[in-house]
Amino acid sequence: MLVRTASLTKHYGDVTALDDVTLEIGSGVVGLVGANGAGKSTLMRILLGLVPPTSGSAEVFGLDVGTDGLRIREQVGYMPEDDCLPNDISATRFVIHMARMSGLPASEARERTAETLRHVGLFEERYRQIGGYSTGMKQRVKLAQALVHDPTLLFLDEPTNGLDPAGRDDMLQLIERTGSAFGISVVMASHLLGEIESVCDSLVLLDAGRLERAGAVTSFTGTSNVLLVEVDRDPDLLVARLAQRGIAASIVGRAISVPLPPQTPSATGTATGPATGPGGTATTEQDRQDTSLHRLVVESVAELGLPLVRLSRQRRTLSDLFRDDARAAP
Amino acid sequence: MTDPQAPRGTIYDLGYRHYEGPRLGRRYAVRSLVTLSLRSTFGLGRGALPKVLAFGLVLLAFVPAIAQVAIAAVGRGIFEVVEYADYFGLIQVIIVLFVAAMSSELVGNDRRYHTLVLYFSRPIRRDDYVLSKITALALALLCLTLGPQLLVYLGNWLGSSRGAGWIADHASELLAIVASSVLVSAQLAAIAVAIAMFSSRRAFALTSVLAVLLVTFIAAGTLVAVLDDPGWAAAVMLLTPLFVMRAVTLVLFDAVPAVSTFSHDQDPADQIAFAGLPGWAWVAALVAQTALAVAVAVLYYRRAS
Amino acid sequence: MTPAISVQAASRWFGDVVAVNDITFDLGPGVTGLLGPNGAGKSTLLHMMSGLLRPSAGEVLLGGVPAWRNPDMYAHLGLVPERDTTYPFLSAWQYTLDSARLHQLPDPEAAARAAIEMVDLTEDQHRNMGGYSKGMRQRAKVAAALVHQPQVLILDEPFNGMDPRQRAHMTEMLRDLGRSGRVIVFSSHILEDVEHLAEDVLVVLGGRLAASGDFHQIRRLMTNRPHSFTLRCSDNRLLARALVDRPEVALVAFRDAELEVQTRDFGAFTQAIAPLLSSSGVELYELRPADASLEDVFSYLVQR
Repeated sequence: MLVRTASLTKHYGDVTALDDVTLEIGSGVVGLVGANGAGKSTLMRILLGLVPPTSGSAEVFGLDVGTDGLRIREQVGYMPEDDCLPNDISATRFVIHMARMSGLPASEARERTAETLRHVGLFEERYRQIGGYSTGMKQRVKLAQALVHDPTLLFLDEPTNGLDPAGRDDMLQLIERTGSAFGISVVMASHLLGEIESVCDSLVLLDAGRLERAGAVTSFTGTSNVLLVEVDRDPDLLVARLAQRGIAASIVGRAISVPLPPQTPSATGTATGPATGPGGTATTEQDRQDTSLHRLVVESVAELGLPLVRLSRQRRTLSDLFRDDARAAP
Repeated sequence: MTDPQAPRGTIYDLGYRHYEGPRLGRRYAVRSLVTLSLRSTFGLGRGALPKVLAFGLVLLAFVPAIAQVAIAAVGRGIFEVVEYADYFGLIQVIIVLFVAAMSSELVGNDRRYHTLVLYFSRPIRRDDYVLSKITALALALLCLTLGPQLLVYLGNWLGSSRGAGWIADHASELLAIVASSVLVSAQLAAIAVAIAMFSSRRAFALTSVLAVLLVTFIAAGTLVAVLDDPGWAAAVMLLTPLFVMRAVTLVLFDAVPAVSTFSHDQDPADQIAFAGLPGWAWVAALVAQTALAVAVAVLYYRRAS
Repeated sequence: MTPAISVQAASRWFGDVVAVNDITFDLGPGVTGLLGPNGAGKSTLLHMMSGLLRPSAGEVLLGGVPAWRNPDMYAHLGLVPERDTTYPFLSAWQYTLDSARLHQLPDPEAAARAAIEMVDLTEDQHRNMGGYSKGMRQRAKVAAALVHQPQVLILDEPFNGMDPRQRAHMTEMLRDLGRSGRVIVFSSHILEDVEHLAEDVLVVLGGRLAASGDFHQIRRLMTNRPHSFTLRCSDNRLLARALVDRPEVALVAFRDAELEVQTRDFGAFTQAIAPLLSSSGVELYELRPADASLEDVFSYLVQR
């Protein structure tokens, strides 16, 4: 475990930023989800040893944040949410300085800076003053200063803030590479579920300082027991034909929804429940169990001469999770 | 020897490499911060304007020293344009301008751009940041305090055409030069940073420092001139940084004037003499002011960000 | 029937900066999402639609009448601006009640009560808004904008800073309002939010309208971009052989356990695939469009 907290609490006067939070974070890319003010930034700051907790304890790499903050910071990189870069210095000079402040000797600092700026995608612009950079470039510099000393763990606070969709994609790919190709563990705070789903292996949800949920992303996503079929016209014809063949289906929005029979455990005893890999590479066991139904649907579509656009199991997304929560309680 | 006909070609791995080199720890980081702050004080790595300002002020600080040396070289005898003890008084405004401008830059920038958080996420202690800034400013100030006086000393030595013997005779002066420069630089650097850190707007920080240093000096001088009681005069002067600075310098050079009557002519040296305090009291006051400023700065940054 | 909102060749410039450049569209009941990167002109457009900015050229009409300098229009329009317009020392109840009174409603208390209930702030309505979370303050703004039951509701970046739960809640609420026949327009630079809520989109890029309508339809209109599908079946190679023979198939690629198929003729391909699957004898595990999400549509529009 990289991070452990026990009953971690932080008050700022009347405001409770963190309320009795006990969690564990392992390696990989972890998403920290919650609204502004939910406690994500406070948690990161406590783990960095920047802010002392009001009560409770926290450990990073087995080191206590209160007494060993300095040693923790040697191996951790931090990319804050807000603007924090000086305007009147070049990216190269700034990142070199930050590298030296993390203990790298002068020439190593220079080399690592050049490499890191290349990895984050800053090329000739690195010699210009940061004041003239676009938001996307500034975010890259922020990431570079967090990476330059080769940390074991990275804290990223809303890394795609202010980026347009293309820039957001680039940054997410970079984060994904950091986790996989660079082999650095990442804790990423975000309020956008799509990002968390695409990049993170596990998530931690904070609400008003409390820990609401934690777990692998795949345990919240995966495929559900509903088959979605989309035809480009006359869906009601297909529904009728399926009904004739004993298949109950209904029209939901653009698609036809066919409830599937509940999963039976496979012969080898491995439970194939509703959860599967997010990439859609379902277990073959599950595929085989569905195919008779799929065949019926395809045949019906072909008989009716309808254009078939989609036939796939409905995927549960993280937003579904919160939609259900929202319906349950305001 | 490779076969020239064999196909050649290699792709080198440009993927991310982990850093296996040395990590030098807190002392090195602090040294780097001091160095970078010092460099930025003199405008290195920034535009032309900061350089002009910094080096311009330094040059102005040297003017009396240069004049002294030039005259001595021409005049062929010890002709003192300026005494060591008076030097700071002479260039007081320049020193204050320098420390006001530089302090607002040193701590103002990081506040304005919110860069503090990036420093605090480094493996240094909270206090290291502000202590480094004060140290850097003090070191920069030495260029205006120690530098010119050493030049005067050098000029006097060369003018004496005596060699090593002269140095032995004037060793105490050298000691006083170094001591006064170091104390004064530390005092003004600490006070300036402790004032400038409250504002992220450069102009505001600069004028605040100027106000606290110069205005208090002028006000105190005027006040002391109308006070008849040495005790009150001493109290007012002990609280005024520039008075304390002047006093310490006079004390270290053993140049406190002896006054039998107190003339209301507002000469700071006379006013200091009027207070009638023992030398160590002034030195203690300087140390106290410096320590207080440092404490305020440290406490402020402990709660920051 | 006069469309509720009609923008006709409207432009707006600020000195040399052309924020909105010759935009034309009509809006009716339902939820429309205004989508585009920051600085694309969304806010400017919304301000013109709510009568706060005058078009430099063209017209912006609400119910057939120019929106500019038309105070009567506010009886039928509610605006939820991006900035925080709430007062920390007021409660949501007071804030909404004030809004009701400003609209000179015959029974302001009843209207305020209804509006507060609609945004689910009944429990916290008497607390000062200074203690609200961002999501609650947003809902308070919506309540104040809805208190007079306007036909049209305009929201500028309503999801900013909200957490997933608050987002889901706001989405549900706006969807219900749209279903009730109101005209809802909201802007966002976050695709997820638009995709979950908007029935129609208006994509604004650099001050110009890049596309409008149902984004699925917009995708079909991009005939220069082949449609991509992902297929998984019991024998990918066999199916691939059959697909390669079809004239409408432009590309077949093997990607791990999946087939990627590209076609330049969406209609022909979708028409042919079901019979092809039946006759080839393979078992279909999954078929889905690969590049028809709002994100894909948007990135294609940006690249144009």
